[in-house]
Amino acid sequence: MPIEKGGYRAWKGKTRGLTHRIFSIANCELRYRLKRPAIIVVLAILGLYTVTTGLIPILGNLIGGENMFVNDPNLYFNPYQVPDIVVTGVSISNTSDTLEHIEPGLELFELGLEPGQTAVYQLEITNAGTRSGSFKLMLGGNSGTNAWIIRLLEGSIPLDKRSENPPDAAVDYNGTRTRQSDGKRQLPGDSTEINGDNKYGNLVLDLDSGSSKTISIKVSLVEDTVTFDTLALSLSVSNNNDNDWFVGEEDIATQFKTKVRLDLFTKITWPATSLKSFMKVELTGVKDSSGTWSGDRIKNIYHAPPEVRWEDTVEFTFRITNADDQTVYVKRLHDPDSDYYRIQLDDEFGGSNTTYGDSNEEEPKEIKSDESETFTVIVNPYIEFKPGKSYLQLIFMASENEGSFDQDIIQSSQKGGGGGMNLNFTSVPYMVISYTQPVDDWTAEYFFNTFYTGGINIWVILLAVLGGSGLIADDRANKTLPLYYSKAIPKYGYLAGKFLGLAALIGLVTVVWSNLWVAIIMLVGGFSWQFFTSHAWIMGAFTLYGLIITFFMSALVLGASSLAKNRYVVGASVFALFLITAIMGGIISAVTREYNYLMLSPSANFIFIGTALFDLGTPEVDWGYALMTLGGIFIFFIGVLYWQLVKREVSIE
Amino acid sequence: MKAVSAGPADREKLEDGIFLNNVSKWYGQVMGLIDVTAFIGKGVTGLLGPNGAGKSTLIKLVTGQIRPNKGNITAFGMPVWNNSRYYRMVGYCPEFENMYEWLTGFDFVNYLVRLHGYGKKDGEKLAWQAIDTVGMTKEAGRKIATYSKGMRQRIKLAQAIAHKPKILFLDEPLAGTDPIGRVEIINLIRQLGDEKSGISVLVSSHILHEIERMTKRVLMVHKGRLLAWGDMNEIRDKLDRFPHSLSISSAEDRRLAKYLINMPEVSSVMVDEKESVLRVKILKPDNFYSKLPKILAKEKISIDQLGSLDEDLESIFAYLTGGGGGK
Repeated sequence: MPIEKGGYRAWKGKTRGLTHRIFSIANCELRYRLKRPAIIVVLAILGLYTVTTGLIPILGNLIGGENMFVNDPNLYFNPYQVPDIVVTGVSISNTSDTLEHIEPGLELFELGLEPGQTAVYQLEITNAGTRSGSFKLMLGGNSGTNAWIIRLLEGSIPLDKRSENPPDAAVDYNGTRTRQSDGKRQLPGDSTEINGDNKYGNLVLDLDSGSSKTISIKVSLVEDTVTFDTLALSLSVSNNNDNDWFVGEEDIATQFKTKVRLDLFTKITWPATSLKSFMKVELTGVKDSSGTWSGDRIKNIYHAPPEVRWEDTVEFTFRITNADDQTVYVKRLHDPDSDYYRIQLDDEFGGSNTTYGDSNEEEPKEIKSDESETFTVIVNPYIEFKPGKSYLQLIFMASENEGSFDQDIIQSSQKGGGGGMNLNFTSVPYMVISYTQPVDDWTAEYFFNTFYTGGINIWVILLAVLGGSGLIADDRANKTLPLYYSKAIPKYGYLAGKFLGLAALIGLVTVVWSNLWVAIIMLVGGFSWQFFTSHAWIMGAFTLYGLIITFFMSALVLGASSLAKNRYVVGASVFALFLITAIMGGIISAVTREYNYLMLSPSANFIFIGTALFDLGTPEVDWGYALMTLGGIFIFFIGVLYWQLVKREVSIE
Repeated sequence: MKAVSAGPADREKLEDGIFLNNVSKWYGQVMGLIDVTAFIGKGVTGLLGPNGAGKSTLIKLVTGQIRPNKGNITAFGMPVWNNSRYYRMVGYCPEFENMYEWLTGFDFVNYLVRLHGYGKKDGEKLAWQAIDTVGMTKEAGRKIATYSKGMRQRIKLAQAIAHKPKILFLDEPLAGTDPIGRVEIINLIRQLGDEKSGISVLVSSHILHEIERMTKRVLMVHKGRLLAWGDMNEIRDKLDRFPHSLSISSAEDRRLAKYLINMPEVSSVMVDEKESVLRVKILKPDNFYSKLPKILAKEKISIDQLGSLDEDLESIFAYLTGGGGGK
């Protein structure tokens, strides 16, 4: 094409402002990155991960309706609460009826037995846990009459293990010799019979991990018409020799509904190692200026680690500092309200002792002004009643003299629980559903922890590194910076364009997809509109949290990219930064027992901010400090960018 | 020839080009440019000098990439450092070869022209015009990764001229191009610098005769100093008496050598088997460069690369500065 007549400057087109030019850079960079295979793979993994973990409950909800997971005990999976019961065979004598005719889940139901008829239930009980345990069968019912008999058929139950306190005085369990309700002596191998109103009998089975035993139960009707208020076969479990029975029980009538479960019990184990937590409780300020001791002024709410399981041992370390100007006396009251933890105290307060929930006051410990005492509490949670509902309480008492104590309470409010899992074709989806269920009162926690594992998802870091490492490093290596710097865009415009391109890529996941994901789960997953509106704040939290991550990661990666000419060096450096700071923060914090050192790690800071933002409790470090730390790093890298690309003469290289 | 300070007297003229006033630039202990005063006006101006002479430093200075440590530079009456208004008038074709390999030639030019603020429609129109001008229309849809060196030079040139600049800086625009492409780019540069276009073109090279085919007006820099400024004819008269060395790369180097040695302008031909090039010593370069394409066409010999050896240019400058003959 010839040069235009009248001069090469003949072009009269309009030009647009700086914003347009910045967006041109951002748009080009984003479009290129969205075509890169590595980034597509990371985005696909992110999408797949969040969809599979977050949206599977939708399928269940669509099938089962709203709150299906919360209300259906068969999908509420907790092997410690519900030992697996397998009905291997059912027969009812003198009748063609089967147990399928029993309506599940009703308080009142008809057995469908004619007078004189007998139903025989055969059950297989398997210990799915990793420990040996004792299983207690509680048989009984309340019919308002004495017109029925439940009998454990002879030979099915070992008679050498009986309940210590049989409720029916007529049944005298005594080793191998027992007496039946009719007063007759019972010999080994004989059946156990319970009849009458409000009668229950207990039998105990010892089961090693993974072993099974089969029992048979016979129910006979002796009167014409019987309507049962309840007819229950309850199972309780214990994992200690003292037979501290777990209170949970299952109504056999409900369990019969699940007779089709033919599980092959394969235990998935997790490390039964000690989960050592270095947590500090500063009981400073136990006394106010008026000199009055008060139990509600302690602000340190101490969280037990989540997912405390049967096998876990958790060790807590506390430090009590006397902030008063005079000597005080401190003692503890152990675990007064919980039946579900065993607390072993091992410290200078009085050596090792164990409590199961009873009050157990200690001798007071003298702490002088401005001095501290540290001690350790080892907790073996052995049975949970229900995940999410357990508490560990440690009550501290302080006094100016050894006589009068006031209480300060530090308690855990974190969910615990969990348990063994049965792995098979039917239980795998069952497990997935049960572990991802959006349980009512942990909604925010569920969303946050599912989307951002570890405060900032590793895939988000990878995405930022893949998308941002070469943004400036490549321009420096290829000496293409002058291409930009000779255009009608200021240097900071170049910087802003690159920043925006990377931020848009990260924001696609942390802001756009996260909100979409939450909205889909809330709206499509069978939740009500009211649920959505009442929990819409979670989307705001996701937006804010996503923006914090986006801006931080963009500045960090872009800043690193301006310091090197090799994108791989940049990527490795960013990963190293996260890894090394996490290790350093953890070690220093552990050694010094000082939480604040955890702020060395950006990941930890994200957790602290997320904990506060999503209302998950009180973070170990104040979220304001965490935000300031991240802000400081952000400003530092913006300064690096300014120096490297605006202030310096980059073309000298 | 002595170094000449180009100091136009009237202010009006100064504001119609780029004026370097006693400019020095140093990098730590190393002097990049020493006390240069020059004026770059309309038309094509050649910037000649061997590697390390200060050509790139001078171009970076006048394009506003770096600041002078001493002196000042104005373009059209305004400062050049960090001045977006000035950059709007500037077209810059840098020396580097690596570009955004994943983009097509069109996307590359379109992307960069939009950094001047053009919208989608205008940007695309300007990009196509520039691509057409450099003769890359057919290849514009291909990714840059597939381009030859010559194509890359052209597409770089396209991005430099797409936004209709008032002044154009071309840093070694002929590097790596084949002889035919070289002729086309030279013609294009001459066309761009034509008086009718009204724009200024500063083109750098370390090959004297390439520059000479574009313009008669040159700035010669050597060891950071402005060595000569003025009409090329004057300089060429002296240089014609001085032998030049070339390297020519061809798949048929021995057949080519046979024809070269018969040319009166060629004083010697050496086959460098190690580097697979012919090393040719010539006199009267003008005559040689005008005859060479004809011989190549007639004998159907293709050459891959034609280059001047740096040390010879060094020798020329030594000769110009009175330091003696070549090596």
